[in-house]
Amino acid sequence: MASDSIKDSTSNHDRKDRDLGEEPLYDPRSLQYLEPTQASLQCSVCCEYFTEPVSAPCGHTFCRSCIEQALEVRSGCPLCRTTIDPSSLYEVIALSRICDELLVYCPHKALGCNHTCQRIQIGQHLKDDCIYIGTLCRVEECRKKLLKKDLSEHMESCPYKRVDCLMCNTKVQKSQLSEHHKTCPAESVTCPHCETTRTRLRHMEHIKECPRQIIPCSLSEFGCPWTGPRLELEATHIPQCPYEAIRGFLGISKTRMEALEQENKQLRGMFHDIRPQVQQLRDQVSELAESVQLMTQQEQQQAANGGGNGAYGGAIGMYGYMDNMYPHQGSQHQPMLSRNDSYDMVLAGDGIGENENEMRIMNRNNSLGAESMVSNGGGVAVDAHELLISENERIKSELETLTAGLASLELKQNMAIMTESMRMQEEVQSLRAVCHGLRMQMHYLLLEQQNRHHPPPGPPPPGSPAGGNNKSGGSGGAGGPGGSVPGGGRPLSTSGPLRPRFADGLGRQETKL
Amino acid sequence: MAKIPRNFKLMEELEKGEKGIGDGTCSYGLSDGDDIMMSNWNGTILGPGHTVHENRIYSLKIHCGPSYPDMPPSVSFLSRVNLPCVNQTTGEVDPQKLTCLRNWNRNYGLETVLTDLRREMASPNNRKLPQPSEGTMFN
Amino acid sequence: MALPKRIIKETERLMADPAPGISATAHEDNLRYFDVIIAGPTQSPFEGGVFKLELFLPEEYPMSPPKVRFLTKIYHPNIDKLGRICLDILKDKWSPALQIRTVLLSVQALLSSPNPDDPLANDVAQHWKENENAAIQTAQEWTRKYATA
Repeated sequence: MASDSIKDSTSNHDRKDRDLGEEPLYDPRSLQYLEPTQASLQCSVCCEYFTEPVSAPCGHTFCRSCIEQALEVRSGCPLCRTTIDPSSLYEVIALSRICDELLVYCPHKALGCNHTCQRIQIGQHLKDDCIYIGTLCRVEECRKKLLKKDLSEHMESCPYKRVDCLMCNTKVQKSQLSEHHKTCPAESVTCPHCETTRTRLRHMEHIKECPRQIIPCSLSEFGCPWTGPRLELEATHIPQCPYEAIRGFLGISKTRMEALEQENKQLRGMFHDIRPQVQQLRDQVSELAESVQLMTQQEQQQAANGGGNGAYGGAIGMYGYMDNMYPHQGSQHQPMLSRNDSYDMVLAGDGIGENENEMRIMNRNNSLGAESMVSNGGGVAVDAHELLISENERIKSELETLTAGLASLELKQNMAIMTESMRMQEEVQSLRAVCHGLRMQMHYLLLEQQNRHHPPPGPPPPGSPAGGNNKSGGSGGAGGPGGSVPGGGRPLSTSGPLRPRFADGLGRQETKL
Repeated sequence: MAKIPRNFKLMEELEKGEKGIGDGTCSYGLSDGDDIMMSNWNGTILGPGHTVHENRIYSLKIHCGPSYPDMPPSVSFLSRVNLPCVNQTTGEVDPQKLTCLRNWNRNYGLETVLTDLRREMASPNNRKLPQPSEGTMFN
Repeated sequence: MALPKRIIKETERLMADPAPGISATAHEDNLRYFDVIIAGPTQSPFEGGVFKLELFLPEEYPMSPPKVRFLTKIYHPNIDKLGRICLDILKDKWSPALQIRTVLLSVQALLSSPNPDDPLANDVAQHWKENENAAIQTAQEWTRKYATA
């Protein structure tokens, strides 16, 4: 039931909407007739008086639309089942006229229209006369659905209807007229300050120069607390205004302030860009710190090892020579290194210097910020600045301590090497003296032996095994420089190749120990 | 649109079911041919191919209450089947877990329910679900 | 779609001027759905019985026939176990010139004159053809058993 009634009401709406278009104004099948039912004038399909009656060859008559619809489903006559060809249907004019002359009620009887007329005239009635027909308010924004009879009453009160503003002669929606009066440019307005009256349009101009309007001092933006009528401003206040005296200065400081604010803004942008880089640098520095620590430990170990190895290096003859050279080379080389280092440091220092420069800018900026903060009240960026600065400071000091650590380490190392080489030189000297002594003794012994057994000199039986030893020791032990020293030594000795060999052999044995 | 009453709707469904619906993978009929109220129905679903249900025949019972088709029918599996919408002790289909039962409207029918259940069997989530051995029944 | 005027008219007439032995009442919530009661015609095996039927006017009515079904069990060769009626005007012989009233009168007439040659319930028709008296007796029994108010 509910759904059916909803359908009913919606279809009524549909019909009303259609009423406005070119659609038929009524459904001929739903007309109510004054006449008592005369079954002979009714269609057996729709059970209503014939509308546009047509007859089939079988003699049966139906409304045209009814029979056409029925023939779509079944081709037989609904009354006698004789097959009907739709083209054979013919109009029954006399019957049509009879039915058209039947008296009907207006379809809007239920709404109150008591009109009755012949059926053929009902269309005309609905079109022209019936005031119970549905219509829409003609105002575009309203379009309210109502009955034609209520339209004129509605138009009186339609809130969307346009009415003339009597002041400015523009069209205004009725509902907004009172609102319009508050802004209508033609409305006369009394100036609240000087109590003169003019139209709103001119008042808008007037208010900019009304001598009685209370205005602040023209330098109020710099802090002048004075307010008063406009005419007093120039006449009495300006000559006494303490801010007027420094107007020029205020102007300059304002432009500077603005420039600084602009700069501040730029720097904040830069700060945002730099922040990730700083983080990256910080990570790198901590990495470096770790590796430096590692290196320090290694060097300390090496220094400890170097003390032990000193005997090794110092005991070897030609190493001694080399060591003689090395302290010089080392001392020549190391200054270079340290120069490089310091160069690096300078570079790093430059970097720091730049940072410092930036920092100074930021500091300045910061203090500016602090100044402007008083007026701006924006402290977050300043905090961030401080953070960044302290971070930079920290990194800088870290770098400095690291540099210092590196330098002192280097110094220590140099010292260790120096003392070590000195000690080794001394040892080598003493060893050389010992060697010399031994050689002299050996020489003495050999000469004595030669003199005792064979007056001509020849290779002694213990000499050949010593030579084999020597060969293997020379090639396997010292390498390039070791080889060149005995080579260089050979031409020196006129007494034979034995001298260096023995020294060599001794060196090897010492090494093995 | 004319609102077709329960009995005439069920009669239409019966006649449709007698003729055979769709490709024959689902079928249904009255469980008692003398039941003038047409309340109890049997349904069968042929398990969809390329799934664990392939070649299985599932039988169901469907009850259409007095409010049908304004309210959905109650549906239970007689054959054991493992589906998320089927209660594993009773075989009842949870109306909240089967789309057509949850969003029931009176244009749906028994065919809708059976084909929706068959679609459920073939859905990517369910096609490989382990199934009880063939031919076992819910008690 | 509003209820066609013809249906309203038919309903009004069924209420105001019911056919003898027939009553049809539209459901309040569905004006196309009718509860029908047909009294078993005198001189028939169904005499004394009160048979409940239901009738529905589909959307296409009157271009399509109404749907009618017995709700009371009846032993009749042209009515099956589910109450479906084998009556030509409800199928291919429908005409839009027919009405609810004429349909129900035809059903009533079918009770008076069963037609076992055009059966719907085969077993009943067989019974009717082979032993009409016994079949009529069964029909009377069923009428007493199921169709007594």
